[in-house]
Amino acid sequence: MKQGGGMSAADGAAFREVARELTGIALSPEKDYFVEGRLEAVARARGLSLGELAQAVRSAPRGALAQEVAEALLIAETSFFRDPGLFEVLRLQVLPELIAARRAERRLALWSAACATGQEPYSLALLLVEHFPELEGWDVDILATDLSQQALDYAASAVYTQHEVNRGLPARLLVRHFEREAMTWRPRSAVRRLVRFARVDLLRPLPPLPRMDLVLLRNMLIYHDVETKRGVLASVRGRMRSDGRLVLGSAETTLYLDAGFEPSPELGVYRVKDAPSEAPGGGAGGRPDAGAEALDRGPSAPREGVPAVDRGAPCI
Amino acid sequence: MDALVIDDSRAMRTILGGMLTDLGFRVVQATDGRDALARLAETPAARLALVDWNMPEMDGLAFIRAVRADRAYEGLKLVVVSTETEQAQMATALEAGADEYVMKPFTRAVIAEKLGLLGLAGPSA
Ligand SMILES: C[S@@+](CC[C@H](N)C(=O)[O-])C[C@H]1O[C@@H](n2cnc3c(N)ncnc32)[C@H](O)[C@@H]1O
Repeated sequence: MKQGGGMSAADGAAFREVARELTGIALSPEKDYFVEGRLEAVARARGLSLGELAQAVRSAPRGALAQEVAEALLIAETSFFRDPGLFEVLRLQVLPELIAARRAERRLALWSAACATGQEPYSLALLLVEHFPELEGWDVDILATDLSQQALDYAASAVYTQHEVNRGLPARLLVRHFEREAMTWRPRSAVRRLVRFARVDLLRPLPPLPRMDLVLLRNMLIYHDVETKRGVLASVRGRMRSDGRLVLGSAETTLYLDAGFEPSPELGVYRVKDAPSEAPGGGAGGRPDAGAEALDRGPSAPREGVPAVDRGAPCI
Repeated sequence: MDALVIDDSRAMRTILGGMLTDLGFRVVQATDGRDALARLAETPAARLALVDWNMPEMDGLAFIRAVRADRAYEGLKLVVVSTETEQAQMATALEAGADEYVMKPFTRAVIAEKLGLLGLAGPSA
């Protein structure tokens, strides 16, 4: 673990304040080593010391530099198939049930709602390509969103380092579904084309989205206070099908936060109990295709969806 | 749980052995495939072997083939840990019966997460 040598307590406080202001995330002082690690690169790129960077954000707490600082602090820990037990539950239980329920309409809408650098939505795509050949010919859509544009750019480029593919990704999937380019690895187009990315701030009113069958909202709520958690859960629920499933991170729960969800027997998976009659501004209704029309989904350009999604809600 | 660490580099054996020990394994070291087969015969309850690819005497691939030809070791999980990063090489190892593959260099988290995938003492988070 890094020593706090390069960053004073006051500078740490300034960075935490910017993060709280711009992203709603409350970092504790114990996380200063993490803050320092993240911000060294930002400072270096500008030829600044950490102290000078802190000074700059203090004097312009809503400026471009402050925004960059806030974004750098958002990009967080993730990996392919993070929590492998959960992905087994998805493979053996949740996805087969959803697929059976959607057999008539042949459509599946999945949402990775805090996708960070993309490992989570690509893990979903890998699961589908590898284990559910019966989805051939279905309308399968994995929407991956995050607040951090830096993370989304990385995710959309889909170029992963050796270290990233070493982590949590079954070697069999690496061999079958990735292309190696020098020292980097990229999912093949059959995997990439299932996923499209858009910037969505979960703390704001959501843009029009398709009604979701499965939502992964993992390791994002943990940073937030109870009221914020409640708000996010309710608005995500408003974008889900009445038999949809929500998946949270291993340290998160809907219990005592949102009575509209009930825990499934499978750990970490929640079912919608009270589907709101209509999502305000969503326009997707229960109809399979209605909401999807709001989004451009050309397979060759996953980020074409961004303007359409952003139309509904301003992002920071 | 017993585990074998098979690598001709003493430094690598020490690193991997230390990581496995921290994860709660009892570690037996071997310097190449032939040595490993002998150790394995003495440690029949071993659940895991981390196997380097390029080693003198008997290389990792030959070791994997020998183990997979022996029903007695059916429950043994084999993880190749190698500097080879060609997909064709990885495919060869998997076809021969390796369960997982780690590219060098690696970190403690990488090893822990791979073991998690195999249902062996994985990361808690
Ligand atoms: C720890 S990562 C989780 C990544 C992945 N879901 C996982 O579990 O591995 C948390 C992510 O939440 C994102 N995030 C934080 N606040 C957000 C917000 N208000 N709206 C959308 N995403 C947000 C961050 O940018 C970051 O990428």
